[in-house]
Amino acid sequence: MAELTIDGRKVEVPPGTNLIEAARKLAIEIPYYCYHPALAPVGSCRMCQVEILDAGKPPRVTIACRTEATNGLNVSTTGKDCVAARAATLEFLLANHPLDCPICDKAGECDLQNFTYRHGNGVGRFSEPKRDKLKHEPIGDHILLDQERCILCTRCVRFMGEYAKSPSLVVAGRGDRNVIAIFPGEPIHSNYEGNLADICPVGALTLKEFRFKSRVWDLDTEESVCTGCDRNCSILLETKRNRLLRVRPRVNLAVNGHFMCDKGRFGLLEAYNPQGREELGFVKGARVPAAQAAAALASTLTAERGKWLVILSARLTAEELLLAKSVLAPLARQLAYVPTSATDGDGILYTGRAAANEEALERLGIAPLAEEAATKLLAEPATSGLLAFDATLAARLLAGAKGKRLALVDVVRDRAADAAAAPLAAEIFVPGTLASEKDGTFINFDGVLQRARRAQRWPQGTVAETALLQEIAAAAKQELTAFARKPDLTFALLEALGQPGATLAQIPEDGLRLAPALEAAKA
Amino acid sequence: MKTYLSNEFARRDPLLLVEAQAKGRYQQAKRVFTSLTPEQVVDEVKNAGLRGRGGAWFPTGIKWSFMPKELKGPSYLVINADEGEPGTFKDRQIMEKDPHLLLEGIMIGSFAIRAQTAFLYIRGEYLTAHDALATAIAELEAAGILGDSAFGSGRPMRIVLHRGAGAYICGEETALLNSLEGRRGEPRPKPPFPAVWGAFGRPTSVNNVETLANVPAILERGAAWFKTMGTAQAPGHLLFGVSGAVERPGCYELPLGTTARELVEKHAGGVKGGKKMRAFIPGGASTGFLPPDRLDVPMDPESLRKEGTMLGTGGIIVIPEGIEIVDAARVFSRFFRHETCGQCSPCREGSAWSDQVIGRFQNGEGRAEDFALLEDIMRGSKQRTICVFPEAFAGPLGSAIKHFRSELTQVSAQRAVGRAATEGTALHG
Amino acid sequence: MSGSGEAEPKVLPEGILAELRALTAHYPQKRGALLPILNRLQEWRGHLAPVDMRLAGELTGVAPADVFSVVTFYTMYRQRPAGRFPLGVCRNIACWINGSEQIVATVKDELGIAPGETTADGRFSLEEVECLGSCGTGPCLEIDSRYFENLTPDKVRALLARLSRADGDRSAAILAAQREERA
Repeated sequence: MAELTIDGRKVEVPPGTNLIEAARKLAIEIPYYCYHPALAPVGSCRMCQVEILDAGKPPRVTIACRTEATNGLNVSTTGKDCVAARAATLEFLLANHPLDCPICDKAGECDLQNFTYRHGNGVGRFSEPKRDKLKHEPIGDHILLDQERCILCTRCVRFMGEYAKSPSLVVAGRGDRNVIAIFPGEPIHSNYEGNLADICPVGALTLKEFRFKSRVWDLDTEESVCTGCDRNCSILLETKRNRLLRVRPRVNLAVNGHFMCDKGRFGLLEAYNPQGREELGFVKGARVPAAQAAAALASTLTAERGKWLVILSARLTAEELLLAKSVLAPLARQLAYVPTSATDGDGILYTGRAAANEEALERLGIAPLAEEAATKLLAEPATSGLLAFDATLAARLLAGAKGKRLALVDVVRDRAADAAAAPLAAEIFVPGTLASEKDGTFINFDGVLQRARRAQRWPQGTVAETALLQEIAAAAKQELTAFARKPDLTFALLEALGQPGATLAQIPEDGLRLAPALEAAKA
Repeated sequence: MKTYLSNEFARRDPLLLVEAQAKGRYQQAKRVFTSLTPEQVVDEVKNAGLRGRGGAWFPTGIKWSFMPKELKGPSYLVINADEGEPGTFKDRQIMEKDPHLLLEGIMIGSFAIRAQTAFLYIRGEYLTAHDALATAIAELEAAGILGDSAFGSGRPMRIVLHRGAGAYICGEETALLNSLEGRRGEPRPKPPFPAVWGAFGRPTSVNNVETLANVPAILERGAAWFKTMGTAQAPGHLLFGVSGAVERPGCYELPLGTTARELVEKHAGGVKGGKKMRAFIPGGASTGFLPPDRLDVPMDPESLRKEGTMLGTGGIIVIPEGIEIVDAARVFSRFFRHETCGQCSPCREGSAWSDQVIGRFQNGEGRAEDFALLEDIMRGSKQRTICVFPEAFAGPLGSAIKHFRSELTQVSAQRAVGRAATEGTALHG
Repeated sequence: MSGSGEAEPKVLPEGILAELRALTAHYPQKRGALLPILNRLQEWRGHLAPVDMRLAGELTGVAPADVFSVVTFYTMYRQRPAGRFPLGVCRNIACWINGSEQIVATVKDELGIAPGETTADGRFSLEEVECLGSCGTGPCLEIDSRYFENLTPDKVRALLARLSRADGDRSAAILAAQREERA
């Protein structure tokens, strides 16, 4: 460890830590633009200037991002030379900036605004004509570039090259003609484009999906996990009036580092603002209140005990899966899940397995059943119907077992992309909830259990999956005392997973790494 | 006076290898390759006190001694032939007229730092010099002097001639290395220094053309001889350029420490047309303006530092009466704005902003508070960026304010009157 | 179009491609050959088209966008055709003191083009350039990096007249004009 002094306070950091990170440990802000913890430092924005104090020598102004903490180093972030240097840098950066904050999406979370308030001079002396450059130019599927707002920190350039392995953004030109650009006519094609809007410290790179949707201070933000694949990236869900407007990654070095992929980001934006969502239930073709549909499901399963194939879904929280297993296993002909077929991941974050909580299904010992086997089982005369939690999978299974009855719990009745396919006709449809509408946990492929907080409200009258399962238990006269005695379902879940001791509220922000699953438990 | 750098400069066509050899060229390179050690060469150059002629005046022998002695893998000598400082045209003379003078220096320098490959980075515009060098290198290869066994020493030596594509900043050694590697010519943050991480990530010494052209003579006649010329701290001759409004512009080989007056009045024949001098620039654009009363300053690094400026490349530019300082300053501010790489915010924005402000003075729109603004632009960028480019653009800017402040104000005021008159005519006429 | 009646070459001759490939061998990393390759491609086409940048990238293992970034950094690279004889007049200090503005004015008078423009027949284009290292021999004008120095308006007129008649190989014409001018 290196012990150094910053503004008179001592701090210990691993050798090699830069001064920005060392100061961060003391909650001392050293402002920066070009630096990013996940990218190679270039030291060009000149915002992070500090002073190195050396006895007997005048203070030496240098940049914090490229200065490594060493034993005995004495650093000042408040010396007059470095304060003046930072203010000068800000004045330079603002000189040609359009100052269009009132119509800029970034306003409120913009480092140019924030640092100007905290480190700037408060006055601008630039009275020359400003440079004209390109504005709101689409440079990819999701991103628009405003070269006038850009401060040329090149985070985006380095992100695309170093992280996304797709060197499609560059600095073009020289000197004050420098701009961020793409190869002429060749926009970004990447699964990581959305991150550009996050890492851009100003409003130069904005998301098509978010532009002019909301001021950022009007957003409600909740910590969640991405259910786009079984990486379960740590994310933030940002809503306004219950509508999900933005999805952003949240730093979690154990799971996703600083970023998330576009499949997740924009997939969630669609999934959590679902089209054609049903708020009412259906029973035998008749629209009924959700509670009535729930009751119908409960009585059907109880009356036809041992006859329904129950296929659980990785979209459910681990707590719901635990409860489902406990309640539905005794009632089902078989309780299983259909493992999601994996495609190739992208070698970065996206794993290619769109099954957020499949690890929970495995670890809870729920039987995997291949799609063919499930279809076959469903087609058997002894099986009277299918209870599914995923309309897409249900459609596939029923296609191979025509005439079987269906009970479906999902947010839509039919998700068939193929208009020619027969519409899914569920005998009982109970409107389900979205992962963003409840508080629960997800376990990723690597065994990290994370909490997703409730970011949206479900429609009034919804019988959420937990309540539905409790109702089924009640109808079946099951005692749920095993759970009732526990502090909460998460506690019970962790016990079931062999790693007891925490309630939902006690799950750390960056998750809980579970011990490797025993093969026995999985089988 | 006996010259050792410019003997062939009056030629029309470059000196060929056979002619060069007839004059005793390559005997030093041969001696070095066949009978000396790298340490001996470095020591001789160190003892001679040779300093880099590219403008920074860093001792060459010391720079070479930074190179690792024990090497796993290659190291390189990179020759900075990206001569681009306005007022500077000396390296061009060497390369166009006497390429073998440079090439022998390159061979010796490469030997001194244990490099078997030298990359000669020449600015793209110097096509004639490039062709002369290409021919000269081909001659050396044909003669077996360059190749698998230089002078039969068993030591391979090759020189790769590399053309740039137009960027003043590539004269900065780490920008040059990036450019050599096929990148944008953006200076690299230091450390690491080139001796540790240079061309293609290998230990590298970057040396200027004229610097290397001094080396054969030092090896031939010795450090003691070299120190008989020039000043104690800056020995040897320098190829001084004199340009602008003089009767005989050109490149003059004289000892360091020769006064600017001697160069301008005696060698270059004085101000053109017998005019008075308004100002002179001692060593290339970035060294800024000096008033004529400083003409007796000896042209060496230390004396010019005392004047608050630098020797730079030793390229004197004479500004005559009739040319306003503000217009000359604008030529430079436009140039530096054009040439900054733009990676560091203070330099990118500061060079452009100061150009705009000087532009206003030029158009009669200067304001009293602009001087403080310009000072702040310089203060906010000098020593605050990856390389010393802000020091370069601050050279003419700062010296214009320091020595010609009242003239700037006056000219701006006069032109404001002129503008008002013109606009008045347009409005009412 | 880049010249008077001269059809723009479309397909890179095999010989030049072989030259480009050979260039990469001079460097420990192929990328080192990027500038030399771009220089050669521009010499051939007169400017650098996207297809040239792609090819340079392929040969050196550099992403096309990165090649584009490099191309835009250096003054000498052109992404659009210039005149058959692109005139670059130095506007820096020594040339300016010695009358570079007159040189520009002469070209303007003779050809009717201002800096940044090309004559209607595509034969000449004009631009102002920064210091060429011809400070002792200014005013200076370069055509594809061949210098014409110590210029006067008369010399410029003679040069333009000569180049107006010069057909056939472009580089040869420039060199011939340079020889004549120096004689």
